[in-house]
Amino acid sequence: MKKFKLFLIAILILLLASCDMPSPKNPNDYLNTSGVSTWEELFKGYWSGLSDSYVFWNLDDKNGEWNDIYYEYLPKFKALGKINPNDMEEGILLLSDITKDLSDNHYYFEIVDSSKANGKYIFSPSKYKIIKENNPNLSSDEIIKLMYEGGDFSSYYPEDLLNEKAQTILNNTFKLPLVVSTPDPSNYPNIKFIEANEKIVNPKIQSRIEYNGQAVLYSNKYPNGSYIENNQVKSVNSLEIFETYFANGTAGPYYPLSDLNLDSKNTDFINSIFETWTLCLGTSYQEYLEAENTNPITYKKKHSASINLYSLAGITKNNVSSVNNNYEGNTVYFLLSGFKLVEFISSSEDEISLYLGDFHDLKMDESAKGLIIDLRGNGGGANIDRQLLFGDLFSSPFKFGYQINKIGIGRQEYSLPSPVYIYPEPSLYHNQYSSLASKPVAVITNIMTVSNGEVTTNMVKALEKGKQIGGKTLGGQGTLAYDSLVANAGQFSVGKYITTVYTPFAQILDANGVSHEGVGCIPDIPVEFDKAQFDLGHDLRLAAAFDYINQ
Amino acid sequence: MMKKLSLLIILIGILILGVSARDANKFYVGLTGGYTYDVIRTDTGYRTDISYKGSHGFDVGIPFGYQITDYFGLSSGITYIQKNYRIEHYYPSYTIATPFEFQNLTNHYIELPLTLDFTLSNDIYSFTASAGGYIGYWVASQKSGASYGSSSNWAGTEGLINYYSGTYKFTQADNRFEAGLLFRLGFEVELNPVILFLRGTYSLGLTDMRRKQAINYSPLINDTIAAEVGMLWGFGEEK
Repeated sequence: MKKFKLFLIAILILLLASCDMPSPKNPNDYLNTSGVSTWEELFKGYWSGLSDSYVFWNLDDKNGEWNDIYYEYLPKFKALGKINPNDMEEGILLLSDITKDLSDNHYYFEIVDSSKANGKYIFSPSKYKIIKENNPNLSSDEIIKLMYEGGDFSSYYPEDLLNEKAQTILNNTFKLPLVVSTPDPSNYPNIKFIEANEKIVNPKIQSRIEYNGQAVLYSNKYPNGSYIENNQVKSVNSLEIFETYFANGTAGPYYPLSDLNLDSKNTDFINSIFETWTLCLGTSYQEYLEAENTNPITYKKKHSASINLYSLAGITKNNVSSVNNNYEGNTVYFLLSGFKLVEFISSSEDEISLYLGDFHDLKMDESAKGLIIDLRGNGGGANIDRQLLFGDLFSSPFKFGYQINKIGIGRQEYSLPSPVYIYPEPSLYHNQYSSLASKPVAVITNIMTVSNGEVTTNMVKALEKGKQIGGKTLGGQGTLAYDSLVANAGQFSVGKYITTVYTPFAQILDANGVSHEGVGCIPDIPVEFDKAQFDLGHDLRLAAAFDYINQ
Repeated sequence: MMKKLSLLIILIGILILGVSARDANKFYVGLTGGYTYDVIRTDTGYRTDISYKGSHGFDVGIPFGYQITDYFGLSSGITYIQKNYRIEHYYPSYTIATPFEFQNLTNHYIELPLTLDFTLSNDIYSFTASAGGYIGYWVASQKSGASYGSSSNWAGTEGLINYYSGTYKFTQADNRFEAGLLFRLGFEVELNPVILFLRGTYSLGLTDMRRKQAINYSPLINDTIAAEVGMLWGFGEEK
């Protein structure tokens, strides 16, 4: 009995004893708020922030690697002492070293650095990986140092990264003068020429832009442009009449094809390929005051415009292959530089609606035997754009992938993969659905196809007759939100030093539940990029896409 | 604290009960089943938008034991036990159809308890107080839940929230071995040849459900309460 009483007392002591648990800290709370912080504090905050808010640990922390990083690098950061914004190199190189192999190819961190022109330095693992893949002779340390020193990296990048994107495709493949060699400024007295590499945005197009966020359309349905009357779009009979409408503010949203006649290029080629086509350009606009006379001083108002969105939709002529054997007839072609249509809806709703309507009409053409979606150089953008563009291809929700979210506070506490769909849009398209999703669909990609560009690639590859053609994509497929507390993962900052850690809040997998993060989507039909041929207008990747449609 | 105080009072009560005992040198084996309620012991720190909530389950088992002396015995057994819980992430300013994400976890364990039992009884009724420990193995897990979507339709009526349900695939980040302390109070009625019992069990987890994650962090530990009924058959030497 005595022994039992002692036994009970021991249990009571154990029960009454409190259990202290370490309490997770906000990454910012690792830093000294009253004085100068140390690199050790910054590292702890950065490491913990990533531990809490990075959503790809199932790829990057399979065997406790992130803990190993902590133990290995803590003494190195400790040895750096206090943070000096004028001397950040050593600490930044260490931060880059621990970050460089993360799978997330959206990821970057931005850190203050007074030695840099804009007072900050940005490191992205995707840029590191691209340089490493294309320059295997360089060591990791050499690349990180090179990136920190900055400069021109064009010699380190693959050629399609620099040269193959919507603007150059329109310029070279379709021979449209969207960017031209600097023309005579006296012909465009209202345009402020902003030169970049001796090329500027076509000043005829710039002349049409009157406000920020304006979208302009060019189409062979309206060769002399259009005007608005009683809220209806009407075709204009001649360029002279169009300019009259333009002068009194009723012209548009389609502008005359003569704007695309410049620099020895015009619309003859694109008219020979497509039965019907529409070009949509989303622009930004800036005004300037330029001194004109000195005594007295007078000023002239000028403006410049840049193109932030390029998109082309067309259907090839039935007999196009007899004219140009790189193309096949009755094929819908769609080119998009970025998923940004929704950005322009607030400022150019009518133009975007008309463009979507033109694209819809092409998709509804029952004679169309396939669809090519050209996403080369497409850096992604709003997911809702995918609904606007392809919501008329599916009469019921179509599963094209999966999403994994962070749930809970543990580093690898995730949801199960939940299906991601593209939904029909009956109200946008008046219950009209295209049959193209059941026909051959090709998506053309390259190394700069990323984010929503890759998710849309997954959508095409989930189709029964969908194929990816061209080059592999970047491998940045996570989906983004602005705050890690709202979305339970994603963006955060660490004090006043690391101002942004940019990372998604959820993973996106393909329709087979496979992640391509950090790796990219591998094309079903790989086609090497040939810059020399591309510059001459021989678009080998586009030709392969048409070839696939014809098969 | 209240919970600990109640347990203290019960233990003191047992100390002053009338004295009698079970049959010494006897083996017991039986069946048991009951209700479980699991809570997660952790600290979410600055993440006040996340909470871990307890949930219900059940257990079934084959208990067995040996009465060493009139008052003391050893018990063990093999038990299938569910240790279920729920995670919620609630961020009030994120105003969509469902303001929070959640995940329900159904966790299946096989446990081997081992306790030292002190029994006071007359010929028919017995009270038993037990203390010991358990080891267990996390056999399987199912998850179901809702999380913020990224691919919604234009009207925002579909796709804002993703739903999922299925079997979880374990990774190296999961610690599938579990161990802890176990405290039990039971009431038995002897109806020859069986003993019917009703018991309450409190399992105090000692192991983290996660592996290789807890630097500057809080472990995730199961504490479980069970209310069980069962029966035992005795074998061996009579008094």
